[in-house]
Amino acid sequence: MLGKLLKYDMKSLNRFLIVLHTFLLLSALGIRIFLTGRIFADNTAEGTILGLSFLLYILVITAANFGTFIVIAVRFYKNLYSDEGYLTHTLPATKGAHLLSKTISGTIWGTLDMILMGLSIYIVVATPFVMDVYHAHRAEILTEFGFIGRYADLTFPKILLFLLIFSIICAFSSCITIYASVVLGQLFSGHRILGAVVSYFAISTIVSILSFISLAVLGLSTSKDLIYMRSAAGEPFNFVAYMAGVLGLSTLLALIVGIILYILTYVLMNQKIDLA
Amino acid sequence: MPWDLDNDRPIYLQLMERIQQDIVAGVYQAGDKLPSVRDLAMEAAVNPNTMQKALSELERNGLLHSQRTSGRYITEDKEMLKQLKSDLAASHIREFIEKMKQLGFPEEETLELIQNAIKGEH
Amino acid sequence: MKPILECQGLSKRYSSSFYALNNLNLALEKGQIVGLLGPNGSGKTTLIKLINDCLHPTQGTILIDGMEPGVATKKLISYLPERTCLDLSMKVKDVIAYYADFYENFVTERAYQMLQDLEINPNARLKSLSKGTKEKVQLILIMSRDAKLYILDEPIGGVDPAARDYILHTILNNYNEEATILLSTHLIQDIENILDRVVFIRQGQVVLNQTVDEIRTQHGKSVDSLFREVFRC
Repeated sequence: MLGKLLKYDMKSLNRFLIVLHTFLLLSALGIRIFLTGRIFADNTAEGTILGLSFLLYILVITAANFGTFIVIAVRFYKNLYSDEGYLTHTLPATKGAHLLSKTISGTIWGTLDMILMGLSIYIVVATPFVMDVYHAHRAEILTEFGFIGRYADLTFPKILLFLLIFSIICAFSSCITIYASVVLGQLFSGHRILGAVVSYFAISTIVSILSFISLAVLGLSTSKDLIYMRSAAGEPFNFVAYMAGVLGLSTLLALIVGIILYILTYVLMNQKIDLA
Repeated sequence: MPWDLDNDRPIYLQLMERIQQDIVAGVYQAGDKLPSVRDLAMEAAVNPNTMQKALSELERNGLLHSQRTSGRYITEDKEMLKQLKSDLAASHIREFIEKMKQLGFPEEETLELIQNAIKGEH
Repeated sequence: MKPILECQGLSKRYSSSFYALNNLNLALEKGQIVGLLGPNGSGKTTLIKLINDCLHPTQGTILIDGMEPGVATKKLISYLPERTCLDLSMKVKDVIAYYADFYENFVTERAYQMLQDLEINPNARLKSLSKGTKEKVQLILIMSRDAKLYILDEPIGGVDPAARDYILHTILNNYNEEATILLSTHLIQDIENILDRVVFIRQGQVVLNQTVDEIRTQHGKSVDSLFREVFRC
């Protein structure tokens, strides 16, 4: 049954998200061909255009990312809690199977979104000019970033693998945050969508506070003071070490929050939620 | 075409009457096989269980008899069919006379009207 | 014989003071066509949603063929909700495939036969169909299952009289001795002849549960007239 649910959930997400990400990659190609690929940043004007095109591109990426999670949220809400829910809830499948299917399909597309985002950034940024600069100064750049000491033998595939795991867990946690919000919103009878939005901001705020506290406790806050303090203690600031720490901690936190919200959503779906 | 049924009398009684009517009118002959409950129910646009009840009642009266697997048949007892015919006629006549009385016709006048009507027809 | 549907002390409270169902008791035997009748807001739809596991009861139990609502009972029940519950971006043939995929007792050929009878194009998108045609498609899907319990919430509300006849015909045609049909409607007169039994509900409780012919024998009037009398405003 899970397989069948997953088939239809994926189909439904594919319809919108394939188009969305095709657009993302096409605009990346467009920017590469018409802007970044032609610019060598050897004068201020071109540097500015380059900067602006990156800015534009960041907007496109943000929109694609936002759009992806909107589509995932709409699918969950519409399929389970709009009129369509009357069919979905009377299929011979458990509520747990519905939640799992939605979580898997949402996580798959959330991850794909990040992979395609990475790919498109690569398309935009990795112009021959940039690559030449990179290869010419590879050693310096790596040192500057902090690929030294225990991070010196970090190979590219290893970094990618880590980023992939990070993406999957983040996608999972983002999806389940949305689902938990929708389900919590169902408790506000009469204002179910508003309830979902409020729940989303409430959960996000709590999670942000939690992550800020844990980062601060572990001395990984982005606050300059903390960085200076550590530098002052004789330990040079290392970007890779810092990122590894932040990402590692975020991943762990996202995983814990995700699991807690998954259980909460599961329990609410099974015991509380009435269809409108 | 659904059968024309009244709203205020039990449906199964009306179904019985209708089938009796059909038998007397020669839609079904003595010894004929009756359509299945489902087909009759569909034709009449009524619940199959109600049709079943009507047929069972007719069976109890002896007008129908069922052969275990092959279905229901009209009785071959000609006497009984004749009796049914005259019973139905008698009940129609009674009903008619009752109505004429309500209109204020004495029996002789009713008879006269009937005779005139029959003559007029031919 | 084990009833196909049994509700005991069933209550559903929506807000702190409003009970949509209030200690309702009802048992239905197999092999009947049952009309669930009651004025607006009497609790018909709430009862139907509870049976279909779309609501959680506040109190009481529901047993379908001896089982509490869940995956097993959803295999037995073919449910037509009061509103269109289909993904309107799908084509008619896609929804048929969807039903066939999820319900083992779905008979695809029967669905296509009915589409043909009602002259509905399987390649049409649901979005492009009229309200009445959408209702017909949904009814076709529901009646194409070999279910044990059909629950139809207002099945003939929005369709034209010719289609209504076809629908009643379809219900009769697909009906078998093992199946039970529970249908709620306001249009009593149209369906009175196909019902075995009627259940009147008012303010969340069963006020009458009799066969149509019992009502006619006992009260000397149609279910429709009795309904008007019982629920006179």
